[in-house]
Amino acid sequence: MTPKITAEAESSIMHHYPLDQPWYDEVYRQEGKFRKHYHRILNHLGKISRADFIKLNELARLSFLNQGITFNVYTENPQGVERIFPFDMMPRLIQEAEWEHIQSGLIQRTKAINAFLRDIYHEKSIIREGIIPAKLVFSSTFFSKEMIGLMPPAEVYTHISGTDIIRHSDGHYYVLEDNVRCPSGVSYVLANREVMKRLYAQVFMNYNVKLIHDYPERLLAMMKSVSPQGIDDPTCVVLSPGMYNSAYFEHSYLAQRMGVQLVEGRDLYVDKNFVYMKTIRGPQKVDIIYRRIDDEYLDPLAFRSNSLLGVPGLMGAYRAGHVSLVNAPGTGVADDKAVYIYMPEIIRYYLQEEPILRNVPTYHASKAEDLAYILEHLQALVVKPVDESGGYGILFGNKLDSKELEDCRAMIQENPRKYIAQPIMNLSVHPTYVEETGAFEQRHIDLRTFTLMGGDGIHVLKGGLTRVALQKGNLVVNSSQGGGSKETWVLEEKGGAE
Amino acid sequence: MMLSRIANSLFWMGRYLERTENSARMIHTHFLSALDAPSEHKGSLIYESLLRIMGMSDYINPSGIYEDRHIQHGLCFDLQNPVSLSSSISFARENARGAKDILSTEIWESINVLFQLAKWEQSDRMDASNIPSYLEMILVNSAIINAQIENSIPHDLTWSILRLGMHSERTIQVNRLLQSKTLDILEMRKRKKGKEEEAFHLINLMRSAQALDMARMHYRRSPQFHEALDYLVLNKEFPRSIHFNMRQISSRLQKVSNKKNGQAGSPEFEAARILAFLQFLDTEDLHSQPEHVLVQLHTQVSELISTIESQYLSY
Repeated sequence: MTPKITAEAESSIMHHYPLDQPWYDEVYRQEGKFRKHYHRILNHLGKISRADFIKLNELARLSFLNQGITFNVYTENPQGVERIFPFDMMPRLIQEAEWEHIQSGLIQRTKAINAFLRDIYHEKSIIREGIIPAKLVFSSTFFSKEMIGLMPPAEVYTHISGTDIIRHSDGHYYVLEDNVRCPSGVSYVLANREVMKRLYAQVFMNYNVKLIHDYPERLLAMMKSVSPQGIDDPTCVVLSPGMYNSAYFEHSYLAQRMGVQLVEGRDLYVDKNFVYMKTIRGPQKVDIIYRRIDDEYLDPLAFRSNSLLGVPGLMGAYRAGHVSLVNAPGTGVADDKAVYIYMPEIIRYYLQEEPILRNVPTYHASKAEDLAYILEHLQALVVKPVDESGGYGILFGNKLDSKELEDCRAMIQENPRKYIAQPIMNLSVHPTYVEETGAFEQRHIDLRTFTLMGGDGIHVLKGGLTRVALQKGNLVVNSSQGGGSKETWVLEEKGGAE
Repeated sequence: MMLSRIANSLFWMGRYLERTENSARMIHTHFLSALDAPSEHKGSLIYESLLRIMGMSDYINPSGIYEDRHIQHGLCFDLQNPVSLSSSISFARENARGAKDILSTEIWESINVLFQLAKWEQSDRMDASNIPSYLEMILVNSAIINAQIENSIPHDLTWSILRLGMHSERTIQVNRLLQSKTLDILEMRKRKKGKEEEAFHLINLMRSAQALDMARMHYRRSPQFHEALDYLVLNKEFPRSIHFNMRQISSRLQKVSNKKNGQAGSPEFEAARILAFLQFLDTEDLHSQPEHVLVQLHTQVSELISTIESQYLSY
């Protein structure tokens, strides 16, 4: 049965929604035909006048501002310019069955990546059996010699993974990137939900949306599950580079929601391979550190000697088994974009399963035949550095002029290990309110998911952060590149969809 | 358990919040009284007195001629001026942001709301007609923040250090206000000005310390200069008097140190010593040499704060 939509909804801000066919639209199958799980929200939006919707948007903006959910952009003004992470009021809905598929794919991937890391820092059997070249693994920027032969508590390396998933125009989900070096964004998921509940109570009442508010508790339980041996009641902390870091909101948010201390490197010191924090009544031992500082800054004695953010001697305490680090150092080798190419093989090798989520076909310039392909088809490809995140350094071949194409070719040939290329994926689109036009328009989205892995099992946050590229036609959704976000609702089938 | 760095942020957050509230009240009082002051007094009586209290003596113009907007901007909005209201609010919020994870959501949001509202009111839109309501907005929001501090967290270590900062700042502010007004009044007397001018200063003094109504009730008349001194230095019950605040500092310190009586040289010991000084202070001395007593008190309190900083707040 085609769901009926009311007359008022027809005349709403959703009515003149331009549909561009080549993209997969998450809401509309074709002009006027929407996917049925969106029925209720469309009906609801239909009842809201444009003026009310603008007011709602303003209220949301104010709520983020008052909560201090902002980015700091530094200027000559000593107060800096604070910007809100743009938030779109129309949530993205995912049906339960579809979510089950994504979730099982994420669990599979997390297990395989963890097994891979354990292997390359110990037996190296995947290399000895010739499945992945030794040169590729050891030349990764993020391969950490410090981790060779070192077994983290509960054998967990990737406690927190932030896998980026897209839906291509073929309707299938693909993993675009694995992020296993302290991925960020989860605080926005939780904060967005709180704002939406305040402003959108009625829509929530019409849907059964899966809960996410227990994430901080699960994060804390996961941390405690990887406690150093012999500690009954471990002291957990979040280690942040400090309040001028762009993700400071997230660091303090998570520490507050878990009820643990937020520390900086200068609050900690190491004595006889134990880590302590400096409190007003003397030193207090620290057992588990959720560190939001990159590997290279963690310990000036082990890594970058000029780091002021880290704690001298921390790696020694880690090696002695007196402190747990979440995530383990050296995990970045698994989200190297050149190692990504081997992910299907990695899954098959360790789990004897077929990959559930697809990989985007990827060419690595360090392979002769791939390099030839990349140089020839550059205009149809997107080029990415293997070791960057946040959308930095990405080049779309179809946006380059002939001079820039030549420069790009030269850049790749000069350092082929550093670059991969992929066909330009058509990220799916979702109706997104555009302030300039005062109407909903198609904008590209992806989904950053969050997976926790501890000694007590794996938990996937239901939904995640739907990121939106706010510029028309833009395919890069990262917040550092001007992206915004949407709420992601995983629907419980019962009563959720019609 | 508390990190020394966090304790430092809390202490300064308390100080800047208190400074914000005090500055807003002093500016408000002086602006309103400037409106109907005889024009010959406007510059010399009001602006100069206010600028001295705020620690902005470099704004004082020997010619005695002042441009309202320039003074308003300097006092309220100038971020280059570390003692302007905007600067105090920014510093309070920066310190709160650094300790956000241990504050209640309500405290953080109330501070952040004040910051956003204050920033929203751009200085170029401000003139004599809307500055008072701007300052009232700051006072109302300061009261909300205070209520959140009082009611949304347990009165434990976090609260004690916050309050320690607030009472320290209040002690310093009230002292500075008293010193400056004492100078003004003694200067009047020296120049044999009439009772009217003295009353003018007295009323601004008492209003700036939110003490006028209560002191009137206490003395059953408009307080005289020596009564104002007694009330703001020695009254044990009035929350803005120096004695009251020293008592608060002393009990907050006991909570922080977990000790009843500290060793000589400890902050607890130093605080007890200042309290004893106040207890045995001869009111004759206070009345005859107020400036001398106030400076002595100021020195003692500054030394106490240095001891607190080195004992608990350095990291």
